[in-house]
Parts: sequence; structure tokens; C-alpha cells
Amino acid sequence: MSNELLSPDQLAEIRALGKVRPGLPKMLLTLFETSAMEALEGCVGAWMCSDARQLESFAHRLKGTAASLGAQDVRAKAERLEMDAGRDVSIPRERLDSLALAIDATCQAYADWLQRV
Amino acid sequence: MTAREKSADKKDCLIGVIEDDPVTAALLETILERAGYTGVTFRSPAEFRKTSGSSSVDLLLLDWDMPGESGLEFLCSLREQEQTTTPVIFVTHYGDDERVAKGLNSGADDYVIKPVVAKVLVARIESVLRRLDHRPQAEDEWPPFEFDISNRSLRIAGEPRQVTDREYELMLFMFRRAGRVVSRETLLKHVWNLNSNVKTRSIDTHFSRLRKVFGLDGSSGWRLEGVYQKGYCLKQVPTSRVDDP
Repeated sequence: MSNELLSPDQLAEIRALGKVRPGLPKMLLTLFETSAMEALEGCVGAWMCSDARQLESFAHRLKGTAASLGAQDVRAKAERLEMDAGRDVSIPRERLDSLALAIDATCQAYADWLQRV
Repeated sequence: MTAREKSADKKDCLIGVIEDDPVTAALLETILERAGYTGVTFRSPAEFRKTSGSSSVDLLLLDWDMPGESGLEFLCSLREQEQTTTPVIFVTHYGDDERVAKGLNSGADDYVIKPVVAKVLVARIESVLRRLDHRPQAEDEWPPFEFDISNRSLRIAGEPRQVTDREYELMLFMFRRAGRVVSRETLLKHVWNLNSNVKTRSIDTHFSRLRKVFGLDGSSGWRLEGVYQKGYCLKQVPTSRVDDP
């Protein structure tokens, strides 16, 4: 499961950096949970106000946070959202729900990975 | 001596990271730490301006998209209004040609696309520092001050002087950045190894003593000045002669 949601290369990098700062891998999960949820809330707020520019900006933020953790599914979804918002394409609410589920699943997969390393 | 040999220890190199995403910031800080650099993170250009200043870091890693002032706007203001030459590397998710060109044309020294590959980022930092030679000076003599790095001792005008470890660190740190403003936060983190938001009078107390005991009040040809809301700056000043009228 984690192989689909999380980039093995980035996990290897985080693991290597964990040798420099032992608390880093766990800390990243906490930071990601907060940061990704904030960005998602921003996306939902912007979507409800039909503010495509804000939606693009929050989706970009979410993409960045996800990429740093190696959360490739969230990253891909956020990237598509960012692009569509930038092109002013109509975005169904289901896409935001799907993003929320992807964030949850990623956090779970990362927590599982933390247990194993 | 080659430029590489002349450069100070990597740990002496302060790298500012302006990044609003906490996950990326934590990764960048650790990558810098692993490479032997000292990283200082700021959540926004405004925070950087308030607590530090471009002259107190040796290189800046700059995100593009941030709330408030964007990385590009900040860079333009650094280059145009503040006229600073501090090396800047954009570290951003934007990889389109237009933005890369715009960033470099606006005064960035390099451009790295996220997600960051650690060894590439470090190589680019090395390359920029090597090219621009913006590292802190590695010399150990600023007449009349002579620092002996091997046994951590100090001579002033050839006379050995008693100096504590902290005083030695602090003076060497400031001499290597002579003429540049060094923030309190940078000193706390680098010399005291403390979190930069710790409130302490320790720096002022130490600097006051350095001025008095080591002649850093101008009498030695060097003056340690406070810079309002920015930090401290060690400046070379003309020595006043005894026989001057």
C-alpha cells in the first residue's frame, strides 16, 4: 500500500536524514498532517467561494507538502487540482473529498512505514 | 592558497532558508546539517527581514510561493532596493521555463526544482559559494588581533591575552563577518547553540565585555556596534593616536 502512496526514493532519503536527526521521520508525519489539512481546508474554502485563484494557490501548497514527504498520490491529485483551477475548469466537490481520503491513507501508510523502520 | 582552502569551515557558513512549508523546511534544515552547514529557517520574507537580514547569512534558499510577499518580489527588492549581493538559490516546485528564466534574470544565482534531491542541492550550494566566494573569511589575522585556530588562543598586538571559549568563538565569528550585520538570532544559534527565540541579555553582556576588555570600542582599530533592530556589526575604524590634538 505504502508503495503506491509513498515514493520509495523519498522514504529512503527521509530514513537517511533520520540518522542525522533521529526524530525527523516522526516529526515529518506530524508536520504533514497539520500542513496538508490546512491546505485542504484552504482548497475547500476557496472552492465554496468559487475563488479559482485561491484554490490554485492552496492546491500548489498541498502539492509542495506532499512532494516533500514523498506522498505521490496526494501530490498527483493536488497537481491536477492546481492545473485545473489555473485553467478555470469546473471542479466537482468529489475531487476534494478524494484528496481528503488520499491524505488520510497517506498518513496511515507513513505511520505503518515508521513502525517498520 | 586556493579559494577552497581559504574558505572557512562549512559550519561557519550560515544558510538562510525562507520556506513556509514546515515539511520542506525541516527536510532542508536536515540536509544542510548533514552537509555540515548551519541552516536558519524563516517562514516568510517578512520574518527574515524582521529577525535577520540578508547580510547576516552567507546564502539564501528561497521558496517562490509564499503568503504575502512572493519569493520573486522579495528577491527583486533585495537586489534593487537593498542592493545586496547575498547569493540566492530558488528552491521551488515551479519548473516551467518562464519562471526559471524570470528567477535567474531577477538576480537568483541558481534554481532548484522540488522535490529536492539532497546531493544536487548541496552541490549547487557548493558551486554558488565557490563561484561567488561569498563564504566567511578563513583568515585568522585582523591586525592587531591574531587568532590561533589550533590552540584557540588570541594575541593582540603580539601580546597573548586570556580569553574564554565563548569570547573566542564570538570574536572569531564577528571578525570573519567584519563589516556585515549579524543578527542576535544567528549568534544565539551559532555561538550559543540556543533556539533563536530565546530571550537573553547574554549577548549584550558579552559584547559589552568584549568592547571593554579587548578594545572593541574603537581603541583597537575595531568597533563592535549595535545595529538597531538588526543585530551587531564589527567595523574597522581609524585608530585614534595619542598625539592627535
